[in-house]
Amino acid sequence: MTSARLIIDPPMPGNWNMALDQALLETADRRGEITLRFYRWSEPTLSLGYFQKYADRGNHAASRDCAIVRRSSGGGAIVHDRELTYSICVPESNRWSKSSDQLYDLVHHQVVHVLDLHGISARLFDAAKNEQDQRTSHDNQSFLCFQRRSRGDVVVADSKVCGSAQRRLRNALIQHGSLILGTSSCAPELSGLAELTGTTLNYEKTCRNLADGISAELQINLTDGTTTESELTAAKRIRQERFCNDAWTRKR
Amino acid sequence: MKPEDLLFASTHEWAHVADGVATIGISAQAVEALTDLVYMELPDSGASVTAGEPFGEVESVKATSDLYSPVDGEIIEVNTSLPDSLDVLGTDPYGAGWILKVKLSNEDALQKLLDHDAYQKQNSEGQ
Repeated sequence: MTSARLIIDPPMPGNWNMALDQALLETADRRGEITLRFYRWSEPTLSLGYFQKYADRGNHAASRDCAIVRRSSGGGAIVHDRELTYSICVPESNRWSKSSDQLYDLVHHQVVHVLDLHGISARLFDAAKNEQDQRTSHDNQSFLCFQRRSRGDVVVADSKVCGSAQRRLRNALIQHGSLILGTSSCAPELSGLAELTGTTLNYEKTCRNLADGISAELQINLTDGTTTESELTAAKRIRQERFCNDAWTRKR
Repeated sequence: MKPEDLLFASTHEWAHVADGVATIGISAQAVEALTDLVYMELPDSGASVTAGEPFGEVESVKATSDLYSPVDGEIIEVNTSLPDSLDVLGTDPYGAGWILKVKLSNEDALQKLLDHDAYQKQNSEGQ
């Protein structure tokens, strides 16, 4: 069984979270290692999708004063605040990297399963049955990711509570995503699990439950680990060159 | 063009070479893996490309990927209509879905590309 690493990080700034994700992706790309990471944000942070225009943040008043970072993954903007964030880096040699849908569905099924353990009824959005067809819905042009709908998003009572996006390198991909635990004052139009269900999830326990489910489905032997010195060095470099760099943040 | 007549990079781009010019696109498998494409960013004519280095980017509903050049040379033509008609990549990836035409500066990189059988074998590994 393939060995893999589990990292559960404390809250950190957005530019560091994105830089470390990139460093872990480069490890997967170079050395073929799988890493599952859970993390939080030390302050409310707006992350732009890779192709989004910086100027569009001006149209979202509630997050206008938030810290900002541009992701390397696509999709809509996310206000990271009261949420559980995960990333998983998988080498191209692993069969789950072959199709974007496979890994997306695998993780999101586990989110539904873990929510079910807490008595929360969640399901995957099905554009085909529709609901609203993702290709015709104007919602998919919304600035905020959580106001868009794609097949496979996790929804509770018709509110999207978990969405994910991927970035591929030559030999690996990263998928990262957010589970909204509670409504943020910087995105008051979005409901979190606390408001939708009255349930407050324990962060650590939820991470462990998700890790158990994801490792079983991926058929990997997941053990607690930490970032290496070389990954920390790489993350510091990436943070300076990219995620703290105004040219990157405002590139579109 | 038939895929059997093309050369492929391990990163899923294809190339067809005739008279010192390579036509470049991405494979049907790559399009399928990315799922619904929504955005593509391409370089301008006249730019140089280097084998194994990114020349553009593509975004689908779920994933963002670099596009890697399979050859060395200068871009002499770009399929500028493609970003506005990305469905073509799904319906005709080896024809109307071509992306660039590149005048080769050398043919060294061609030696590293896979023929169709080898590319298919690569894709079946790990499944």
